[in-house]
Amino acid sequence: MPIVDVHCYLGAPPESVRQGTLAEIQRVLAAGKINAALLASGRAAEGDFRRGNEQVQQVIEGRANVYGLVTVNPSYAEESAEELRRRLTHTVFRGVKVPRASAGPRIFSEGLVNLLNAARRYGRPVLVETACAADVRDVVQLANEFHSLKFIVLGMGGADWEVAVRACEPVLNCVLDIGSLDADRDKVADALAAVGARRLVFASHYPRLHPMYVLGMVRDAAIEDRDRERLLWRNAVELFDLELVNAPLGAARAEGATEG
Amino acid sequence: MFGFWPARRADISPETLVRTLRQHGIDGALTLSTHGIFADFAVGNSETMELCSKAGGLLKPVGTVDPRRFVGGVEAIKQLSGQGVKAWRLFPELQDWTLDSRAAELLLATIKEVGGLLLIDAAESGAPSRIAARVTALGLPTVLLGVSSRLMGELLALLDDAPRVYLETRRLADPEVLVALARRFGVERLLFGTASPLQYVSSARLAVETAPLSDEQRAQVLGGNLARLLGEGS
Repeated sequence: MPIVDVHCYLGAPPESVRQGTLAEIQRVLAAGKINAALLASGRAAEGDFRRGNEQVQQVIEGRANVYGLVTVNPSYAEESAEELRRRLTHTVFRGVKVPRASAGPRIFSEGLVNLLNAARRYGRPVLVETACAADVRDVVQLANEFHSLKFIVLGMGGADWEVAVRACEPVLNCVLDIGSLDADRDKVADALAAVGARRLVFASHYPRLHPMYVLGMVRDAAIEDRDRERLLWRNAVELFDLELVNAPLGAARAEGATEG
Repeated sequence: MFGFWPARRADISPETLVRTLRQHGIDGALTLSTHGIFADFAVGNSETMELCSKAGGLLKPVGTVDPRRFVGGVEAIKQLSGQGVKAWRLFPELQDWTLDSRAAELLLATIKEVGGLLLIDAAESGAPSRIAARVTALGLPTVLLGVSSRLMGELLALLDDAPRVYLETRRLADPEVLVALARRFGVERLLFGTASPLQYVSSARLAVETAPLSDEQRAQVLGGNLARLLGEGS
């Protein structure tokens, strides 16, 4: 069964023992039998998002089974809108990433609303990092306001994942990412029971987390194969309109590479 | 842990604990009743001793005391130590007290006096440093629970000066983090933990299983180090 990682980082945070280079990502994700990944810039999460996005584009361009996420910063709404225009018309970028660190005191902000208005024309999923219940409620509020956009609740509210599950259950354009440091047993099964298999995705958040840690949750969740398939890759392929090819993640894209 | 978990709906019954450990091929685990956290440590300790006595060696008791009550805490540590309890878990993160309290100080000193091993949560930034300073002054061997790679700088800075402080691997998550810590401080500083059945076992276990350690080192992390600290191994 293929696995698609919908969120990992190019670049590592200061405390990491990792580098977050493409070569390292290829090696670590391959060890987890992960076939494709969407990369956001680690630098862009807390610093200069434009330079970070540019770096992602340069690194992944022309490579197979690896796609980009455009990082935006609501405090720089105009510049972020320009990034959306520049990157999302480029086929390697398949989603919009809103990091928690640069989103401001609250995720729901005028800047982000303006940005999402600009994002509507591209129709790509919006991935919003959430660390607590208040973050999740803000995403739900945004999802209710922007029906045409799909929101991926990265981190599922951290330790407040139960709130996330309940809050997102009736909001059909909210998709839950199971990956976070909060490995509470029942988390995957409860999320599955509430929102259904079509609204769950797998993200490793590597190198801030590790694929094995998140895949361990899936392994222990004892869910049916068809649900596992949805969670681990099929939903990601549909949400991000991915074309998986028979090539290692990040390999130079060959002319004759076939869809897998 | 076993008992009742108030923060969320979770089946952590003794049966579930034992079944989960067996499903994952875990041969031994430290455990305690959550009644000792949320209600009465004396009753909780009794429940812990009773379950462990019935578990055929699978479960080993962890004692707990509560500095908020304090009364009876010193006596409980001495009494249970006499009955073979070697590990002590304190819960400042759930009981809303700090290590600065005189009650906590006296209880820690008593755990040291009976030759016990302290287990304590250190998940938040700054907690490892505060705990290490306190337990190092006492010479109390201590396992920091819940530490993650986000605290790497803090851990690197403190472990040289805190030779009796150990790390639970559960949330270190990345095999390379385990290897980096093992190289820098010695593999004997790492102890496998799961928080089962509250948390997924495989999330904690895969990092240890896939880390590029020798079989001997892996065995140390998976149980040998704890056995040594409890005076049960070489």
